[in-house]
Amino acid sequence: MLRALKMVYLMPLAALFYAASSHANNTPVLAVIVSEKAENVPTKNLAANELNLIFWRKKEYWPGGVRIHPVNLHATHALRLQFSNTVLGSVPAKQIDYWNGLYYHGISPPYSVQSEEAVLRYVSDTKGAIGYVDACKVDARVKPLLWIENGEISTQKPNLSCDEKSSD
Amino acid sequence: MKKIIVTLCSVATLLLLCKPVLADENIAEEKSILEKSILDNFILGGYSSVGLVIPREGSTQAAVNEFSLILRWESDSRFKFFGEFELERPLIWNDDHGLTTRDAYFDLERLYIDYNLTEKLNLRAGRFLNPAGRWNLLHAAPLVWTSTRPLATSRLFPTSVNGLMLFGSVPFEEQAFEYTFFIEALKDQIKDDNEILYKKVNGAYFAYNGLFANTTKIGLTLSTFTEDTPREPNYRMVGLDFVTHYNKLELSGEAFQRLNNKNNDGGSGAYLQAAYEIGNNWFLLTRAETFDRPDTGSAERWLIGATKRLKPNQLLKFEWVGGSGENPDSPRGFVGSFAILF
Repeated sequence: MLRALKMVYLMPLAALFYAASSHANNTPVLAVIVSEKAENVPTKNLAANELNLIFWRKKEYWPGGVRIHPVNLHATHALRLQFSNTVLGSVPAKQIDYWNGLYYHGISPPYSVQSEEAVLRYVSDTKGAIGYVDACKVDARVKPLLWIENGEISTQKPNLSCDEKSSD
Repeated sequence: MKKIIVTLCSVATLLLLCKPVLADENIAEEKSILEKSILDNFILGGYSSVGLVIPREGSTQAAVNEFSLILRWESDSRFKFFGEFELERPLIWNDDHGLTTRDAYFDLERLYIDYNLTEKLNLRAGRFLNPAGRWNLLHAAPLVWTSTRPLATSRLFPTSVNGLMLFGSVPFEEQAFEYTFFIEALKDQIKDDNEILYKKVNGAYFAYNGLFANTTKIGLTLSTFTEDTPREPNYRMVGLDFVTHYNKLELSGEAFQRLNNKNNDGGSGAYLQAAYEIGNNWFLLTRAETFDRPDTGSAERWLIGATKRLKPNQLLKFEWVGGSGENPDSPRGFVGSFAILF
Protein backbone atom coordinates (compact mmCIF):
# COMPACT_ATOMS: atom_id res chain seq x y z
CA MET A 1 0.00 0.00 0.00
CA LEU A 2 2.79 2.36 1.03
CA ARG A 3 4.69 1.50 -2.16
CA ALA A 4 1.60 2.23 -4.25
CA LEU A 5 1.16 5.61 -2.58
CA LYS A 6 4.81 6.43 -3.23
CA MET A 7 4.30 5.55 -6.88
CA VAL A 8 1.27 7.86 -7.06
CA TYR A 9 3.39 10.76 -5.74
CA LEU A 10 6.52 9.95 -7.71
CA MET A 11 4.94 9.39 -11.11
CA PRO A 12 3.89 13.04 -11.68
CA LEU A 13 7.35 14.18 -10.58
CA ALA A 14 8.95 11.75 -12.99
CA ALA A 15 6.61 12.94 -15.74
CA LEU A 16 7.53 16.56 -15.00
CA PHE A 17 11.23 15.72 -15.05
CA TYR A 18 10.81 13.85 -18.34
CA ALA A 19 8.85 16.74 -19.85
CA ALA A 20 11.48 19.25 -18.74
CA SER A 21 14.37 17.21 -20.08
CA SER A 22 12.51 16.55 -23.35
CA HIS A 23 11.91 20.27 -23.71
CA ALA A 24 15.58 21.01 -23.16
CA ASN A 25 16.55 18.38 -25.68
CA ASN A 26 14.14 19.86 -28.24
CA THR A 27 15.88 23.23 -28.12
CA PRO A 28 18.40 23.06 -30.95
CA VAL A 29 22.01 24.03 -30.53
CA LEU A 30 22.71 27.17 -32.54
CA ALA A 31 25.96 27.81 -34.34
CA VAL A 32 27.11 31.40 -34.85
CA ILE A 33 28.71 31.38 -38.29
CA VAL A 34 30.94 33.42 -40.59
CA SER A 35 32.01 32.66 -44.15
CA GLU A 36 34.49 29.86 -44.84
CA LYS A 37 35.93 31.88 -47.74
CA ALA A 38 39.24 33.36 -46.64
CA GLU A 39 38.57 36.70 -48.39
CA ASN A 40 35.26 37.11 -46.52
CA VAL A 41 36.50 36.08 -43.10
CA PRO A 42 37.41 39.09 -40.99
CA THR A 43 38.21 37.17 -37.81
CA LYS A 44 39.15 33.72 -36.58
CA ASN A 45 37.51 33.99 -33.19
CA LEU A 46 34.90 36.03 -31.36
CA ALA A 47 34.42 36.64 -27.65
CA ALA A 48 30.99 35.61 -26.43
CA ASN A 49 30.36 39.01 -24.85
CA GLU A 50 30.84 40.77 -28.19
CA LEU A 51 28.00 38.90 -29.87
CA ASN A 52 25.26 41.07 -28.38
CA LEU A 53 27.15 44.25 -29.29
CA ILE A 54 27.17 43.05 -32.90
CA PHE A 55 23.47 42.15 -33.01
CA TRP A 56 22.49 45.36 -31.17
CA ARG A 57 24.58 47.14 -33.87
CA LYS A 58 26.74 48.82 -31.24
CA LYS A 59 29.83 47.25 -32.80
CA GLU A 60 29.86 47.81 -36.55
CA TYR A 61 33.40 46.92 -37.61
CA TRP A 62 35.62 43.88 -37.39
CA PRO A 63 39.29 44.40 -36.53
CA GLY A 64 40.91 45.93 -39.60
CA GLY A 65 37.91 48.04 -40.51
CA VAL A 66 35.76 45.48 -42.34
CA ARG A 67 32.08 46.30 -41.80
CA ILE A 68 30.08 43.74 -39.87
CA HIS A 69 26.91 42.58 -41.61
CA PRO A 70 24.82 40.65 -39.06
CA VAL A 71 21.89 38.69 -40.46
CA ASN A 72 18.79 37.55 -38.59
CA LEU A 73 16.10 35.01 -39.31
CA HIS A 74 12.63 36.57 -39.54
CA ALA A 75 11.09 37.92 -36.34
CA THR A 76 8.86 34.91 -35.54
CA HIS A 77 11.27 32.12 -36.50
CA ALA A 78 11.83 29.76 -33.56
CA LEU A 79 15.62 30.02 -33.86
CA ARG A 80 15.42 33.83 -33.98
CA LEU A 81 13.42 33.83 -30.74
CA GLN A 82 15.93 31.47 -29.12
CA PHE A 83 18.89 33.55 -30.30
CA SER A 84 17.27 36.85 -29.36
CA ASN A 85 16.34 35.70 -25.86
CA THR A 86 19.80 34.29 -25.17
CA VAL A 87 22.00 36.94 -26.76
CA LEU A 88 19.89 40.11 -26.54
CA GLY A 89 17.76 39.27 -23.51
CA SER A 90 14.41 40.03 -25.17
CA VAL A 91 12.19 38.98 -28.07
CA PRO A 92 12.03 41.07 -31.28
CA ALA A 93 8.56 42.44 -30.45
CA LYS A 94 10.02 44.14 -27.35
CA GLN A 95 12.82 45.82 -29.32
CA ILE A 96 10.74 48.29 -31.36
CA ASP A 97 11.74 51.40 -29.39
CA TYR A 98 15.40 50.45 -29.53
CA TRP A 99 15.48 49.95 -33.30
CA ASN A 100 13.43 53.08 -33.97
CA GLY A 101 15.96 55.03 -31.91
CA LEU A 102 18.92 53.53 -33.72
CA TYR A 103 17.28 54.08 -37.09
CA TYR A 104 16.96 57.76 -36.16
CA HIS A 105 20.74 57.74 -35.76
CA GLY A 106 21.28 56.16 -39.15
CA ILE A 107 21.70 52.53 -38.14
CA SER A 108 19.31 49.89 -39.43
CA PRO A 109 18.53 46.57 -37.74
CA PRO A 110 20.39 43.50 -39.01
CA TYR A 111 19.23 42.12 -42.32
CA SER A 112 16.40 39.67 -41.93
CA VAL A 113 15.91 36.60 -44.11
CA GLN A 114 13.31 33.86 -44.27
CA SER A 115 15.22 30.61 -43.94
CA GLU A 116 18.37 29.02 -42.62
CA GLU A 117 19.49 28.30 -46.17
CA ALA A 118 19.23 32.04 -46.85
CA VAL A 119 21.39 32.71 -43.79
CA LEU A 120 23.98 30.24 -45.05
CA ARG A 121 24.06 31.82 -48.51
CA TYR A 122 24.17 35.38 -47.17
CA VAL A 123 26.97 34.62 -44.71
CA SER A 124 28.93 32.64 -47.27
CA ASP A 125 28.77 35.30 -49.98
CA THR A 126 28.92 38.56 -48.00
CA LYS A 127 32.16 39.99 -46.75
CA GLY A 128 32.02 40.59 -43.01
CA ALA A 129 28.69 38.77 -42.52
CA ILE A 130 27.78 36.88 -39.37
CA GLY A 131 24.63 34.85 -38.67
CA TYR A 132 23.31 31.81 -36.87
CA VAL A 133 21.67 28.53 -37.83
CA ASP A 134 20.85 25.21 -36.24
CA ALA A 135 24.29 23.70 -35.57
CA CYS A 136 23.25 20.61 -37.51
CA LYS A 137 22.77 22.74 -40.65
CA VAL A 138 26.36 23.99 -40.71
CA ASP A 139 28.05 22.97 -43.95
CA ALA A 140 31.29 23.61 -45.82
CA ARG A 141 30.28 27.12 -46.90
CA VAL A 142 30.51 28.54 -43.37
CA LYS A 143 32.62 28.33 -40.26
CA PRO A 144 31.17 28.30 -36.72
CA LEU A 145 32.73 30.66 -34.15
CA LEU A 146 30.37 30.20 -31.21
CA TRP A 147 27.66 27.81 -30.08
CA ILE A 148 24.50 28.58 -28.16
CA GLU A 149 23.04 25.78 -26.07
CA ASN A 150 20.47 25.93 -23.27
CA GLY A 151 20.83 29.68 -22.93
CA GLU A 152 24.63 29.64 -22.77
CA ILE A 153 27.11 30.99 -25.32
CA SER A 154 30.26 28.94 -25.69
CA THR A 155 33.41 28.88 -27.77
CA GLN A 156 33.56 25.08 -27.33
CA LYS A 157 31.72 22.90 -29.82
CA PRO A 158 29.16 20.79 -27.93
CA ASN A 159 28.33 17.18 -28.71
CA LEU A 160 25.73 17.24 -31.44
CA SER A 161 23.24 14.53 -32.26
CA CYS A 162 22.00 15.53 -35.67
CA ASP A 163 19.21 13.74 -37.51
CA GLU A 164 17.19 14.59 -40.62
CA LYS A 165 14.90 17.12 -38.90
CA SER A 166 14.36 20.55 -40.43
CA SER A 167 13.41 23.69 -38.55
CA ASP A 168 12.82 25.95 -41.58
CA MET B 1 6.13 80.16 -49.89
CA LYS B 2 8.88 79.99 -52.49
CA LYS B 3 11.17 78.44 -49.87
CA ILE B 4 8.64 75.69 -49.18
CA ILE B 5 8.15 74.92 -52.90
CA VAL B 6 11.93 74.66 -53.38
CA THR B 7 12.19 72.36 -50.35
CA LEU B 8 9.33 70.14 -51.55
CA CYS B 9 10.96 69.87 -55.01
CA SER B 10 14.22 68.86 -53.35
CA VAL B 11 12.39 66.26 -51.28
CA ALA B 12 10.72 64.81 -54.38
CA THR B 13 14.10 64.56 -56.12
CA LEU B 14 15.66 62.80 -53.14
CA LEU B 15 12.74 60.38 -52.95
CA LEU B 16 13.23 59.47 -56.59
CA LEU B 17 16.96 58.94 -56.15
CA CYS B 18 17.02 56.93 -52.96
CA LYS B 19 15.57 53.71 -51.68
CA PRO B 20 13.57 54.39 -48.54
CA VAL B 21 13.94 51.91 -45.69
CA LEU B 22 11.78 51.55 -42.59
CA ALA B 23 13.16 50.88 -39.14
CA ASP B 24 11.32 47.59 -38.89
CA GLU B 25 12.59 44.52 -40.65
CA ASN B 26 11.19 44.72 -44.13
CA ILE B 27 14.54 44.19 -45.76
CA ALA B 28 13.86 40.63 -46.77
CA GLU B 29 15.85 40.67 -49.96
CA GLU B 30 18.11 37.70 -49.69
CA LYS B 31 20.91 39.06 -51.80
CA SER B 32 24.49 39.78 -51.10
CA ILE B 33 25.52 43.31 -50.26
CA LEU B 34 28.18 42.86 -52.92
CA GLU B 35 25.41 43.09 -55.51
CA LYS B 36 24.43 46.61 -54.43
CA SER B 37 24.78 49.54 -56.77
CA ILE B 38 26.10 52.96 -55.73
CA LEU B 39 22.55 54.30 -55.39
CA ASP B 40 21.65 51.44 -53.05
CA ASN B 41 24.19 52.86 -50.61
CA PHE B 42 22.03 55.97 -50.16
CA ILE B 43 19.19 55.45 -47.75
CA LEU B 44 16.42 57.96 -47.21
CA GLY B 45 14.05 58.14 -44.27
CA GLY B 46 12.58 60.72 -41.96
CA TYR B 47 9.71 61.62 -39.70
CA SER B 48 6.90 64.11 -39.34
CA SER B 49 4.28 65.12 -36.82
CA VAL B 50 1.09 67.15 -36.68
CA GLY B 51 -0.25 68.59 -33.46
CA LEU B 52 -3.02 70.50 -31.71
CA VAL B 53 -2.46 72.79 -28.72
CA ILE B 54 -5.36 74.16 -26.68
CA PRO B 55 -3.60 76.28 -24.05
CA ARG B 56 -5.15 77.49 -20.81
CA GLU B 57 -4.20 80.99 -21.90
CA GLY B 58 -3.84 82.08 -25.54
CA SER B 59 -5.28 80.87 -28.79
CA THR B 60 -5.79 77.33 -30.03
CA GLN B 61 -3.24 76.23 -32.61
CA ALA B 62 -2.94 73.32 -35.03
CA ALA B 63 0.27 72.76 -36.94
CA VAL B 64 2.42 70.51 -39.02
CA ASN B 65 5.20 70.60 -36.44
CA GLU B 66 8.01 69.42 -38.66
CA PHE B 67 8.89 67.48 -41.76
CA SER B 68 12.31 65.95 -41.38
CA LEU B 69 14.35 64.02 -43.93
CA ILE B 70 17.19 61.71 -42.96
CA LEU B 71 19.67 60.88 -45.69
CA ARG B 72 22.57 58.55 -45.09
CA TRP B 73 25.22 56.84 -47.11
CA GLU B 74 27.32 53.87 -46.18
CA SER B 75 29.35 51.31 -48.04
CA ASP B 76 31.88 48.69 -47.05
CA SER B 77 34.43 51.41 -46.38
CA ARG B 78 35.21 52.94 -42.98
CA PHE B 79 33.28 56.10 -43.93
CA LYS B 80 29.62 56.86 -43.33
CA PHE B 81 27.65 60.00 -44.10
CA PHE B 82 24.55 61.20 -42.25
CA GLY B 83 22.32 64.23 -42.71
CA GLU B 84 19.03 65.37 -41.20
CA PHE B 85 17.27 68.27 -42.90
CA GLU B 86 14.22 69.65 -41.19
CA LEU B 87 11.45 71.98 -42.25
CA GLU B 88 10.13 73.39 -38.98
CA ARG B 89 6.49 74.38 -38.59
CA PRO B 90 5.74 74.44 -42.33
CA LEU B 91 2.00 74.98 -41.81
CA ILE B 92 0.16 76.54 -38.87
CA TRP B 93 -3.44 77.37 -38.19
CA ASN B 94 -4.54 79.44 -35.21
CA ASP B 95 -7.50 81.49 -34.06
CA ASP B 96 -5.81 84.82 -34.73
CA HIS B 97 -4.11 84.40 -38.11
CA GLY B 98 -5.87 81.47 -39.74
CA LEU B 99 -3.71 79.26 -41.98
CA THR B 100 -0.16 80.46 -42.50
CA THR B 101 3.29 79.34 -43.60
CA ARG B 102 5.11 82.44 -42.37
CA ASP B 103 6.66 80.69 -39.35
CA ALA B 104 8.27 78.00 -41.49
CA TYR B 105 12.04 77.76 -41.51
CA PHE B 106 14.67 75.29 -42.61
CA ASP B 107 16.92 73.75 -39.99
CA LEU B 108 20.04 71.70 -40.50
CA GLU B 109 19.63 69.32 -37.58
CA ARG B 110 22.62 67.05 -38.23
CA LEU B 111 25.26 66.73 -40.93
CA TYR B 112 28.34 64.64 -40.29
CA ILE B 113 30.80 62.05 -41.50
CA ASP B 114 31.81 59.07 -39.38
CA TYR B 115 35.15 57.33 -39.75
CA ASN B 116 35.98 54.05 -38.04
CA LEU B 117 39.42 54.44 -36.44
CA THR B 118 39.62 51.09 -34.66
CA GLU B 119 37.29 48.30 -33.65
CA LYS B 120 36.26 50.27 -30.56
CA LEU B 121 36.75 53.88 -31.60
CA ASN B 122 35.03 56.07 -34.21
CA LEU B 123 35.50 59.69 -35.21
CA ARG B 124 32.60 61.98 -36.12
CA ALA B 125 33.07 65.37 -37.75
CA GLY B 126 30.29 67.84 -38.49
CA ARG B 127 27.09 68.92 -36.80
CA PHE B 128 25.65 66.41 -34.34
CA LEU B 129 23.26 66.21 -31.41
CA ASN B 130 24.78 66.99 -28.04
CA PRO B 131 24.89 63.67 -26.16
CA ALA B 132 23.51 65.24 -22.99
CA GLY B 133 21.12 62.75 -21.47
CA ARG B 134 18.65 60.53 -23.31
CA TRP B 135 15.91 62.87 -24.51
CA ASN B 136 18.10 65.16 -26.57
CA LEU B 137 19.49 62.20 -28.49
CA LEU B 138 16.03 60.74 -29.14
CA HIS B 139 13.95 63.90 -29.32
CA ALA B 140 12.16 63.10 -32.59
CA ALA B 141 8.38 63.02 -32.16
CA PRO B 142 7.90 59.32 -33.09
CA LEU B 143 10.52 58.27 -30.51
CA VAL B 144 9.15 59.95 -27.38
CA TRP B 145 5.94 59.22 -25.48
CA THR B 146 4.76 62.82 -25.13
CA SER B 147 4.15 65.76 -27.47
CA THR B 148 5.79 68.17 -25.04
CA ARG B 149 9.45 68.06 -24.09
CA PRO B 150 10.82 68.53 -20.57
CA LEU B 151 12.34 72.02 -20.31
CA ALA B 152 15.43 70.61 -18.61
CA THR B 153 16.33 68.72 -21.80
CA SER B 154 16.38 71.75 -24.09
CA ARG B 155 16.95 75.01 -22.15
CA LEU B 156 20.03 74.24 -20.07
CA PHE B 157 22.62 73.20 -22.67
CA PRO B 158 23.27 73.38 -26.42
CA THR B 159 21.17 70.76 -28.19
CA SER B 160 23.56 70.52 -31.16
CA VAL B 161 27.30 70.92 -31.55
CA ASN B 162 29.46 71.65 -34.60
CA GLY B 163 32.73 69.89 -34.01
CA LEU B 164 34.49 66.59 -33.47
CA MET B 165 33.38 63.54 -31.54
CA LEU B 166 35.11 60.32 -30.51
CA PHE B 167 32.76 57.49 -29.60
CA GLY B 168 32.54 53.74 -29.23
CA SER B 169 31.29 50.75 -27.26
CA VAL B 170 33.12 48.05 -25.36
CA PRO B 171 31.71 44.89 -23.82
CA PHE B 172 31.46 45.01 -20.04
CA GLU B 173 30.07 42.03 -18.14
CA GLU B 174 28.16 40.82 -21.22
CA GLN B 175 26.60 44.24 -21.83
CA ALA B 176 27.81 47.47 -23.44
CA PHE B 177 29.66 50.37 -21.94
CA GLU B 178 29.33 53.34 -24.30
CA TYR B 179 31.52 56.43 -24.28
CA THR B 180 31.49 59.73 -26.14
CA PHE B 181 33.86 62.71 -26.04
CA PHE B 182 33.25 65.83 -28.08
CA ILE B 183 34.60 69.31 -28.67
CA GLU B 184 33.10 72.25 -30.55
CA ALA B 185 35.01 73.55 -33.56
CA LEU B 186 32.54 76.10 -34.92
CA LYS B 187 29.87 77.89 -32.93
CA ASP B 188 26.26 78.01 -34.14
CA GLN B 189 25.88 80.54 -36.94
CA ILE B 190 22.11 80.85 -37.11
CA LYS B 191 19.76 81.66 -34.25
CA ASP B 192 16.28 80.17 -34.58
CA ASP B 193 13.36 81.79 -32.75
CA ASN B 194 14.14 81.99 -29.03
CA GLU B 195 17.07 79.60 -29.23
CA ILE B 196 19.94 80.19 -26.80
CA LEU B 197 23.32 80.19 -28.55
CA TYR B 198 26.42 78.69 -26.96
CA LYS B 199 30.12 78.53 -27.68
CA LYS B 200 33.25 76.76 -26.36
CA VAL B 201 31.25 73.57 -25.89
CA ASN B 202 33.09 70.44 -24.69
CA GLY B 203 31.84 67.34 -23.02
CA ALA B 204 31.57 63.64 -22.51
CA TYR B 205 28.81 61.09 -22.08
CA PHE B 206 29.03 57.59 -20.60
CA ALA B 207 26.29 54.97 -20.55
CA TYR B 208 25.92 51.41 -19.29
CA ASN B 209 22.93 49.17 -19.92
CA GLY B 210 23.62 46.15 -17.76
CA LEU B 211 22.11 47.06 -14.39
CA PHE B 212 19.43 45.01 -12.58
CA ALA B 213 19.47 41.99 -14.90
CA ASN B 214 19.96 44.21 -17.95
CA THR B 215 16.64 46.03 -17.43
CA THR B 216 18.18 49.41 -16.65
CA LYS B 217 20.37 51.83 -18.56
CA ILE B 218 22.12 54.71 -16.83
CA GLY B 219 24.04 57.65 -18.23
CA LEU B 220 26.41 60.34 -17.01
CA THR B 221 26.82 63.71 -18.77
CA LEU B 222 29.75 66.06 -18.19
CA SER B 223 30.02 69.31 -20.10
CA THR B 224 31.40 72.84 -20.13
CA PHE B 225 30.12 75.71 -22.28
CA THR B 226 29.64 79.47 -22.53
CA GLU B 227 26.32 81.13 -23.25
CA ASP B 228 26.69 83.48 -26.19
CA THR B 229 25.02 86.42 -24.43
CA PRO B 230 26.47 89.86 -23.54
CA ARG B 231 27.78 88.69 -20.13
CA GLU B 232 29.10 85.44 -21.64
CA PRO B 233 28.61 83.28 -18.54
CA ASN B 234 30.63 80.06 -18.39
CA TYR B 235 29.05 76.91 -17.04
CA ARG B 236 30.06 73.44 -16.00
CA MET B 237 27.25 70.91 -16.08
CA VAL B 238 26.73 67.42 -14.73
CA GLY B 239 23.76 65.26 -15.64
CA LEU B 240 22.41 61.84 -14.75
CA ASP B 241 19.83 59.86 -16.66
CA PHE B 242 18.23 56.44 -16.52
CA VAL B 243 15.56 54.27 -18.09
CA THR B 244 14.32 51.04 -16.61
CA HIS B 245 11.71 48.47 -17.58
CA TYR B 246 9.71 46.30 -15.22
CA ASN B 247 6.96 44.21 -16.79
CA LYS B 248 4.70 46.76 -18.52
CA LEU B 249 6.19 49.79 -16.80
CA GLU B 250 8.88 52.04 -18.23
CA LEU B 251 10.35 54.54 -15.81
CA SER B 252 12.79 57.18 -17.01
CA GLY B 253 14.32 60.39 -15.76
CA GLU B 254 17.08 62.94 -16.19
CA ALA B 255 18.60 65.55 -13.89
CA PHE B 256 21.04 68.36 -14.77
CA GLN B 257 22.89 70.81 -12.55
CA ARG B 258 24.92 73.76 -13.86
CA LEU B 259 27.58 75.63 -11.90
CA ASN B 260 28.88 79.06 -12.87
CA ASN B 261 32.46 80.43 -12.59
CA LYS B 262 32.10 80.96 -8.86
CA ASN B 263 30.74 77.46 -8.27
CA ASN B 264 27.30 78.89 -7.59
CA ASP B 265 24.05 77.48 -8.93
CA GLY B 266 23.80 78.30 -12.62
CA GLY B 267 20.50 76.58 -13.30
CA SER B 268 19.10 73.09 -12.92
CA GLY B 269 16.30 70.86 -14.04
CA ALA B 270 14.97 67.35 -13.80
CA TYR B 271 12.06 65.14 -14.81
CA LEU B 272 10.68 61.75 -13.87
CA GLN B 273 8.36 59.99 -16.31
CA ALA B 274 6.37 56.76 -16.20
CA ALA B 275 4.75 54.94 -19.12
CA TYR B 276 2.53 51.96 -18.35
CA GLU B 277 1.07 49.68 -21.01
CA ILE B 278 -2.61 49.11 -20.27
CA GLY B 279 -3.27 46.89 -23.29
CA ASN B 280 -4.15 47.14 -26.96
CA ASN B 281 -1.00 49.26 -27.47
CA TRP B 282 -2.29 52.05 -25.21
CA PHE B 283 0.13 53.55 -22.68
CA LEU B 284 -0.76 55.69 -19.67
CA LEU B 285 1.73 58.48 -19.06
CA THR B 286 2.63 60.70 -16.19
CA ARG B 287 5.54 63.08 -15.75
CA ALA B 288 6.74 65.58 -13.17
CA GLU B 289 9.44 68.11 -13.95
CA THR B 290 11.23 71.05 -12.46
CA PHE B 291 13.31 73.70 -14.16
CA ASP B 292 15.30 76.72 -13.06
CA ARG B 293 17.40 79.20 -15.02
CA PRO B 294 19.02 82.32 -13.56
CA ASP B 295 17.48 84.60 -16.21
CA THR B 296 13.98 83.15 -16.54
CA GLY B 297 13.30 81.84 -13.05
CA SER B 298 11.83 78.52 -12.10
CA ALA B 299 8.90 76.51 -13.37
CA GLU B 300 7.26 73.24 -12.45
CA ARG B 301 5.27 71.06 -14.78
CA TRP B 302 3.19 67.93 -14.38
CA LEU B 303 1.62 65.91 -17.12
CA ILE B 304 -0.88 63.11 -17.48
CA GLY B 305 -1.72 61.55 -20.78
CA ALA B 306 -2.25 58.55 -22.96
CA THR B 307 -0.42 57.42 -26.08
CA LYS B 308 -1.40 54.73 -28.55
CA ARG B 309 1.15 52.98 -30.69
CA LEU B 310 -0.86 52.65 -33.89
CA LYS B 311 1.98 50.84 -35.67
CA PRO B 312 5.63 50.29 -34.71
CA ASN B 313 6.47 53.60 -36.42
CA GLN B 314 3.38 55.65 -35.48
CA LEU B 315 2.30 57.27 -32.21
CA LEU B 316 -0.94 59.07 -31.35
CA LYS B 317 -0.55 61.20 -28.21
CA PHE B 318 -2.93 63.05 -25.88
CA GLU B 319 -1.79 64.90 -22.77
CA TRP B 320 -2.83 67.49 -20.25
CA VAL B 321 -0.09 69.74 -18.90
CA GLY B 322 -0.27 71.75 -15.70
CA GLY B 323 2.13 73.53 -13.38
CA SER B 324 3.36 76.93 -12.35
CA GLY B 325 4.04 79.98 -14.49
CA GLU B 326 3.85 80.45 -18.25
CA ASN B 327 6.63 79.34 -20.55
CA PRO B 328 6.32 79.51 -24.35
CA ASP B 329 8.28 76.28 -24.68
CA SER B 330 5.94 74.39 -22.40
CA PRO B 331 2.35 75.64 -22.65
CA ARG B 332 -0.13 74.49 -20.04
CA GLY B 333 -3.34 72.91 -21.31
CA PHE B 334 -4.24 70.15 -23.74
CA VAL B 335 -1.73 68.94 -26.33
CA GLY B 336 -2.35 66.21 -28.89
CA SER B 337 -0.28 64.98 -31.80
CA PHE B 338 0.31 62.26 -34.35
CA ALA B 339 3.89 61.29 -35.26
CA ILE B 340 5.24 58.97 -37.92
CA LEU B 341 8.72 57.62 -38.66
CA PHE B 342 9.34 56.59 -42.25
